[in-house]
Amino acid sequence: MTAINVDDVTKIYGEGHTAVRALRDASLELRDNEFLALLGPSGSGKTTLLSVIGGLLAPTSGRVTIGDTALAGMSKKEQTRFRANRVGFVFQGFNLVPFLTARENMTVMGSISDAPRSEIEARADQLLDELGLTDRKNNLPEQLSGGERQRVAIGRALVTDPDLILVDEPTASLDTELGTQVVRLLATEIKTRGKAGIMVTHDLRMVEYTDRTVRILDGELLDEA
Amino acid sequence: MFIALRDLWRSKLRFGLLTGAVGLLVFLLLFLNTLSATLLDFFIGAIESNSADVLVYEETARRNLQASRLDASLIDDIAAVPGVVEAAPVGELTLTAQIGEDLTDLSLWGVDLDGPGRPAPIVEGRPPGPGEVVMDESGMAEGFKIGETITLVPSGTELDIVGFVRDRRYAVIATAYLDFAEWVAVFEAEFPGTPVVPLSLIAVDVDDGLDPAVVGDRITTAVAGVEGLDRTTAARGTPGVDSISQSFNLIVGITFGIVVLVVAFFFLILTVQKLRSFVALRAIGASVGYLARSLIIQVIALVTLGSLVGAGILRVATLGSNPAFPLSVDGRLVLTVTGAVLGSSILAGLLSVGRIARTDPADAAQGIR
Ligand SMILES: Nc1ncnc2c1ncn2[C@@H]1O[C@H](COP(=O)(O)OP(=O)(O)OP(=O)(O)O)[C@@H](O)[C@H]1O
Ligand SMILES: [Mg+2]
Repeated sequence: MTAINVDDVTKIYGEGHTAVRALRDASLELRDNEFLALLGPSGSGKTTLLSVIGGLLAPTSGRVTIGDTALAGMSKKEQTRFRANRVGFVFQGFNLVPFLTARENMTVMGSISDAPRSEIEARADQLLDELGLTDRKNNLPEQLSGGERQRVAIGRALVTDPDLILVDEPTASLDTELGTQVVRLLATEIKTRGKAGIMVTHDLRMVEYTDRTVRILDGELLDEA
Repeated sequence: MFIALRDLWRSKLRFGLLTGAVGLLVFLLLFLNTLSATLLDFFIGAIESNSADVLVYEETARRNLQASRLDASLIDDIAAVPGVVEAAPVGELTLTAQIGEDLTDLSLWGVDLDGPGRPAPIVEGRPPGPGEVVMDESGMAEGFKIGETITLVPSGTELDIVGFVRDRRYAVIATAYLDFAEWVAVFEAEFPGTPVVPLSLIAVDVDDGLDPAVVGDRITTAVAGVEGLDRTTAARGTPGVDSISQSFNLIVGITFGIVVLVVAFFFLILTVQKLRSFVALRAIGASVGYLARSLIIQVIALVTLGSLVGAGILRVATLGSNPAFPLSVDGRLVLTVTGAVLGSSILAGLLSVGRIARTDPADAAQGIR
């Protein structure tokens, strides 16, 4: 089944002569269980594309459909619930909550999403283990290394068992070994739990764990490397 | 709850300091209120807590006891007004008295010891006999004690203190009560050659179940040249009471405003500092409502704790309470002040909620900028 359908999406930031065309007539389709690598230079529109798919940013034109729901038809409230329950977003800047510990940064989803708190807690403990963070679970983000923070952010994205996983530069702060391990974990999650995933990366070595690669240049998608 | 409590816990010092500040300001609010009540009590307690239901003034005195002069013949006219059970004379004289070695001011009240306006209840000692007075217990501060003798100046009349009453001070000076006939004798001794000794007031008891204000109006209408007032109206109408109340209300109002502003600014500063977190939480699906609830929970926790601290400090302050300066924790006052501060602080917190609502969750997607 089609998990993500991006149809002719254009995104223009700003107006007049300061306007930036970050996406140009971008179209993309992703099936369930599919893991896609998004490659492109800085400023090419990768984050913008993920934001549009994740319901954070409304496209200037074009349609985005997730499963059988069109994002454009959703109210602000529905978009918020959509992000809470169906999207796992790993942001480029991690965006952990500084006054919550590693574990709490994941379990906070118990108050935000509709999933039962006990389920979230059990899953958080399992993910902490898989991400090698069990020893650090009671540390605040400021006490964690860049790589540890990144893994917490990945844990937070996976803890609600979302349909979509959108990961912006997951391996930037990780060395090759840890990076490989984390991308493998993402791939396993996507394959075994019927999700669709998009991973932005610069690291060509990570591409082998994905099903397909799409390149983006100046807001235009160029299929298959 | 999840975010609110963890944030509170992890910023203990900050929130603790603010709780302390709110506590001190709430204490100030409570203390100012108590102070104003005490001061007013010292000023007009003799009127407000009088044992009579209605006090009758000379009409032209404009509710000023010390300007009011009535003829004794009016007592019978007033007693004849329907609803009046009994009417009795009241005389007030402010003079200098010697107690021990010291000279001090004394407000001396002559009343019918068994009639309306009697000094009752006696909280310590016994009712006065000939040559004796009972005093408002706050006089202790000026050295008036049971068993001591007051010497009036310049006449040299001696009066023994045999008992205390409560809340019956007048004009913020020591206040003593004695039999009306003796008061007349004191007056004549102090001002030799006075042809007539005027009454200050006529104290009236009304029939059970009748509204004193109504009977007061009847007296005003029925008897020429007088104004009958219930105790509260008489007390509030005393010249000077209004300006004292207004001054205190102004200070209390300003303090109240400061508490609310402190809370508002504090939360606004914290909100702006945590804006990145709020943006991130909104991006991962937290609604503005959820974040607003968290913030309001923090406001409630902080103001409630602060009010407890304030009431606690007031409680400690009451340990130093004495008749000269009575202080007490009035539970209703604490609740009213806490409720008012809480309500306004929650409204002030909405300022921060507005700031959160104006964030764009899409900002979370871009890296650290
Ligand atoms: N909020 C914004 N307002 C205006 N222009 C923006 C905004 N966000 C992004 N842009 C511009 O849109 C273009 C695409 O940005 P985007 O963040 O999607 O790039 P990216 O591929 O994620 O880059 P990077 O690899 O550096 O993260 C860039 O030219 C950027 O400057
Ligand atoms: Mg980017």
